Amino acid sequence: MNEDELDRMCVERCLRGDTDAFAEILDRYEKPVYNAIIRLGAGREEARDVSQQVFLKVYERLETYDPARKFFSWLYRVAINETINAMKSHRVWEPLSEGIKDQHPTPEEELAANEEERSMQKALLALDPKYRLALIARHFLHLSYDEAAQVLSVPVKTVKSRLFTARQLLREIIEGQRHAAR
Amino acid sequence: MQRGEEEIIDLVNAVVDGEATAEEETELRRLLLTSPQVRELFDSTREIARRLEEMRSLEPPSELRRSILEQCGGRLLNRPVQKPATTRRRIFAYGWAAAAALVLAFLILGRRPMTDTGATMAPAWPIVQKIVSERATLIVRRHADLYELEPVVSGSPVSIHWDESKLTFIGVSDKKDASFGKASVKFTFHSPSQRAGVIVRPRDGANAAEVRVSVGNDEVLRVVVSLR
Repeated sequence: MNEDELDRMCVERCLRGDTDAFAEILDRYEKPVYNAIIRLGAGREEARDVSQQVFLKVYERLETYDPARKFFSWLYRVAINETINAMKSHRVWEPLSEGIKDQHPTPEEELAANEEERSMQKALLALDPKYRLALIARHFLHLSYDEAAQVLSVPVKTVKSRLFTARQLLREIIEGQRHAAR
Repeated sequence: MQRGEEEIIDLVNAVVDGEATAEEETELRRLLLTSPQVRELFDSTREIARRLEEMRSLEPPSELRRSILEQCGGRLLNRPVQKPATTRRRIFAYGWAAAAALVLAFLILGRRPMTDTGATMAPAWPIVQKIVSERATLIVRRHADLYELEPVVSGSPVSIHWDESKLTFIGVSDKKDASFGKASVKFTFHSPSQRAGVIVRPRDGANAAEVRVSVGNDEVLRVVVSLR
């Protein structure tokens, strides 16, 4: 049984009142959804709140899920919409680097890697949201072009061109950061 | 890169993203040998993709999962009845599920689901505050760190707004025709005896929060609720 079939079965069980089935959905999607929200620009607290809203909304709307579609694509769409709405209502979220600063203590040997990651986060945040979304769909939600197109509600061609532009811009931003640091 | 720049970009992206066919990979390999521009484009795209993939995956806070499941358990009561069961076995299964949902919701929320007449099926949470004005009353009940804000007003629709920087929304005590805003819930009642409340939890040690009650667009109560 593939992930898709497992998801559909879980939805069916949820609709019969089996909350354990929703726990299985959380097992599969809590982490990617939380990470996507963080990478979209939320701090840890906002990411927790938005993740919660996303899953509650999904749970409440399970009856409206169309089994002909992939469940994760529906779920990620809800997640992205909720995140964008939250971003609009809060206007500015705390910087991403601040959001993950209080992660588990990092050993000294990871400092260099963390520096690299901070610079990537900063660059990601500097991107226009539509480019950031394309990168998140591809690199954090690991969606194919077709799946990303469904989740983002744009043609596949647009996904490809946004990915290309996003990576080019990211590279330029990182190079700019390097020059500024010298 | 005179030969279809857009085509080459698509090819590079497809290979980097693992979406290329075997033929496309062969074609790119050939281009990499003959075109320094394509080589540069491929290397830079692959490098950025690698750096993105290497960004760490963060662990969600441990309480997130529990909190979601608790709230889903509470909302089982509000789920519409599913298709009628076709066999006796399914009837039993559905019956047990419904009973389990009721028990679960009762255990989690430790309170009574209200009926249309406001009668109760189980003991209510104790009232910790009752704020009375000329036009409305707000009853505040508490159970552990959860607060129920229940307005007593005449009219419909009734909205409860709260300060979301101080309170986190947990659920509603009786969904009826509830619709949810960012930091508000609107109830549309079909009879004057219906009642419902919002269940919230204080955020980050907040000890007071503003709550507003409206009937339609008319604000009938604005109070600071103490949370201790």
